[in-house]
Amino acid sequence: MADVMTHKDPFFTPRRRRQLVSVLLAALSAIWVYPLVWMIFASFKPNSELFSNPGMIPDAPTVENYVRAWREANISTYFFNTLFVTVGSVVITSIASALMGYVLGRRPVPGRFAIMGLMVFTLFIPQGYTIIPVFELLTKLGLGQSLWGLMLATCGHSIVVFTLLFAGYFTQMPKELEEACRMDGVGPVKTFVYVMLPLAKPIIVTVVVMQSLQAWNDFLLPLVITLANPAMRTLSVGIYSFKGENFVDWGGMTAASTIAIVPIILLFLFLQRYFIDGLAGAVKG
Amino acid sequence: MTTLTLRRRLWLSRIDYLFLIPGLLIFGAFILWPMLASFYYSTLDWTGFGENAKFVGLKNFTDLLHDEFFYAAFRRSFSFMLMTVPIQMLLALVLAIILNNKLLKLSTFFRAMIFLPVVTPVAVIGIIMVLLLSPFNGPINGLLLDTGLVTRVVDFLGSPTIVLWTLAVIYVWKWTGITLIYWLAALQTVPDELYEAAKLDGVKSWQVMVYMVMPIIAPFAGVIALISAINALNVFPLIQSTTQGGPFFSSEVMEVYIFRTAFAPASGQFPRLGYASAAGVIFGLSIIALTIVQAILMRRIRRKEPTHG
Amino acid sequence: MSSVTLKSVTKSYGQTEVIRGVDIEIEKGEFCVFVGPSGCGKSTLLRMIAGLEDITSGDVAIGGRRVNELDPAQRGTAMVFQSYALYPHMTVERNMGFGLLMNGEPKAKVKAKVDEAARILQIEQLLDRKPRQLSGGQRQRVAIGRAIVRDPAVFLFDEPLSNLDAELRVATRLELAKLHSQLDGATMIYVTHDQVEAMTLADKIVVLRGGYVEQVGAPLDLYNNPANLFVAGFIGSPRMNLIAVKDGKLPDGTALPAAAAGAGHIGLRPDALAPDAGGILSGVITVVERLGDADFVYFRTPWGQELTTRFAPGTAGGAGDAIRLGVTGKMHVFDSNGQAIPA
Repeated sequence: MADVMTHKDPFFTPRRRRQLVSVLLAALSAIWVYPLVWMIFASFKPNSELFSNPGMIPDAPTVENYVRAWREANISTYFFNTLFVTVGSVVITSIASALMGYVLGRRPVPGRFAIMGLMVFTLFIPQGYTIIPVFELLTKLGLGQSLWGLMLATCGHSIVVFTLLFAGYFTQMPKELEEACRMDGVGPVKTFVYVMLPLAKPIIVTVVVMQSLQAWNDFLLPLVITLANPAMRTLSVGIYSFKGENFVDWGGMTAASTIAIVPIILLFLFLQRYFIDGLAGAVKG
Repeated sequence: MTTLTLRRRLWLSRIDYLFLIPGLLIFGAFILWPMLASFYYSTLDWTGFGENAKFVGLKNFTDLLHDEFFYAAFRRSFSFMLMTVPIQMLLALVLAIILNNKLLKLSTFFRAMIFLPVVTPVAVIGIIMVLLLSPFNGPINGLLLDTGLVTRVVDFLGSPTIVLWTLAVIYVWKWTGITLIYWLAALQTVPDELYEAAKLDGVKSWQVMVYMVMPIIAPFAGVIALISAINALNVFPLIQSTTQGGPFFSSEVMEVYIFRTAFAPASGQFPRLGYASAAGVIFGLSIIALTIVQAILMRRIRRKEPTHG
Repeated sequence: MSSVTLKSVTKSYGQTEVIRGVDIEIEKGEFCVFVGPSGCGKSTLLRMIAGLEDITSGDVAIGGRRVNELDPAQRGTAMVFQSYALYPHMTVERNMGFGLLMNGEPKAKVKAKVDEAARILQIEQLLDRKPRQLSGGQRQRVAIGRAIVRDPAVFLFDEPLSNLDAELRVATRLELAKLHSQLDGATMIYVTHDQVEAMTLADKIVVLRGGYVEQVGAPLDLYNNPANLFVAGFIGSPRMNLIAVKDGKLPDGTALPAAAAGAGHIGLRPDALAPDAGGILSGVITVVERLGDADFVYFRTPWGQELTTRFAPGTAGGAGDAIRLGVTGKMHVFDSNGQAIPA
């Protein structure tokens, strides 16, 4: 009934409203990252202080937790194990999925729709369903007790998603590019390496970033594979076991955890766009 | 002469098949083969090592039907899904609508903050949460006691009645960032002109959301719900690294059950890989069924509005 | 430089036949244009010569050598694509030299060839740029440059001007004509749907429709002596006026000269008509387009057909005026099957 024009409180101009929203979001973000920030601060507190000082900021900052975790809790070994598995699986997965995505996306190969269909069908199979045969297979191949086996199996996690990402990207490239190559007498392998692959750079970065995340954070697979072989643990499994073995060493645990998250968080902050694009691409496809 | 024979087409594609080999090897070895092998393993009585596997037919499945732990874990998996997915989707949608505002300067920064738990390894989250929520000197309990919100410490991860809810909150915290990205991607498909036209027409912003934006992003909702649901069923890492299914099996979801039966039996018992495989087969088939139902539902909804390509 | 011969060439996709037996003879050094409406098969024919499409039956020979089974790269042809198909991530220089480099040519030799082509096309200052930093016209030159570098026996152009704006299209057309003489009269085959391009560029035009060749000939040949109604209507702008006639009479009963006896249609180019109080055509002006150098007049005949004529600048009346016209130029006569009856 009141005049519509004056109904709006002039206090809430669009700009004011945005500022208010920003403040609320800032508060939410602070709560959201609080656990991570708390952990990083805690890793610099000596164990005695951890239990007595409820505040976030350490009174007497120390790196002794890191020294202890790195040396005594084998975190150094776990760190390099994880690095090996991550780098290796990223290299293999990107190459394999790019090649397969290219062929499935734009080559008139007999049987490609059958392969695509099969792949899509398996898209949602849970890891818990496949873990036993994967473990058996690695054991039979003699890779059940080796980092190579873990690395290869880690490649399997998202190969389907990555292949579909590549296929979707290659499908929409103009076919004249390949025809130009054919006219120039450039063979299929060289066409792929010099023309198609460089053009797929955004997808390559996305796949590298997402596979790094996946491999670095993987848990069930390395847990199962390293059950009988602690020397092969990755950081995730190492930290998990740390909790079981030295439960009172909060300082050591938080230090080890910080070591585990710093590389991946740095990777995320620097290549944020590719994480986002990759995920967005996955849901649009 | 007019059409190429299949043999010639295969020969012409030989380099393409060469390209397929590495990918197909990985796919075959770590996805396709395990899927099929699980079926075979599920018919065995097998402790895992050596040649002691014995074919028992469907006995594992009939035994599972009488296994209370299996039932409980199966139900718990799906309850956990229902506890988390709606909240996660709604929370992420609200955040996405706010963050999609181009005039909001720090939008990218807030998005990154919300996304941080997504990239944090679950094992680390397990540690943080166990410490933060610890009933002994844990900071959260300290805070709650100090502010007088509770009078006695709450054992968030140690009480069978609230443990699943605690895990649900942790889960939502960890994964909302990814759902947020999905929603933002969906919102980006709404053309800017639409908002501008609505503004010129004097349509209120909530009306724009409800009558214009929602119908456009509705088809995405199905996909996002499916991805989120499947994700919520694969919650093994979070639960194993916080409670390992405890206390007293009260947070044991399907994958934890499978893992325990196959790889980490209670002391004195043998691993039962065949039995665990059978549980895995049932779980896997349920998920496939869920996917198919979802796909059919979505197709039916889409058919109702033929304007959307 | 080579001749190109097509003999009973056909092409089918499954049951659909898109090229239905085409014979074309293209001489060494000739600029030959395939023209026709979209879907006439002209691009398919070009791609068959290039080797990008299989030949269902018939023979294609380049320089007297049958090339049906040869790879595109071995045929001695180079193609300029409609979309240019430049490699987006490579510099202009690398775009042009890519094919040669990949086939193991020494770097210095490739560089010399690229520089030479760049000089001919006046794109030397662009060699370090990427395609996205170039204008449409510049991209087009690079695409041509990529063809020149290969030193082909035959150049193939697939609608190379259709992505350019009107002004640039005219300029580039002239450049192409110059290029043809500059390259010592290389054999060029050019596909377009634009009959103006065909008329201005070609030594020989091949008019195609529905997978058949309608007529082959020099541009003025086709203009002056179209073999059938389709070519008559397709070549020339504005289009030829085609009027259905019966028993040597116009639809309104006006008697025609004896030459039109037995005709199914007569064709009159707009400039073959002039005002004449005793003329055979009458009508009411509907629209006048004043172009400065000429006035085009559209008028409606008593039987409701819209025809076009051309007046000297400023001499046409306005819409609504009645006019009467006589035939001052050639009258084309077609039989009831649409074939031209020679005068």
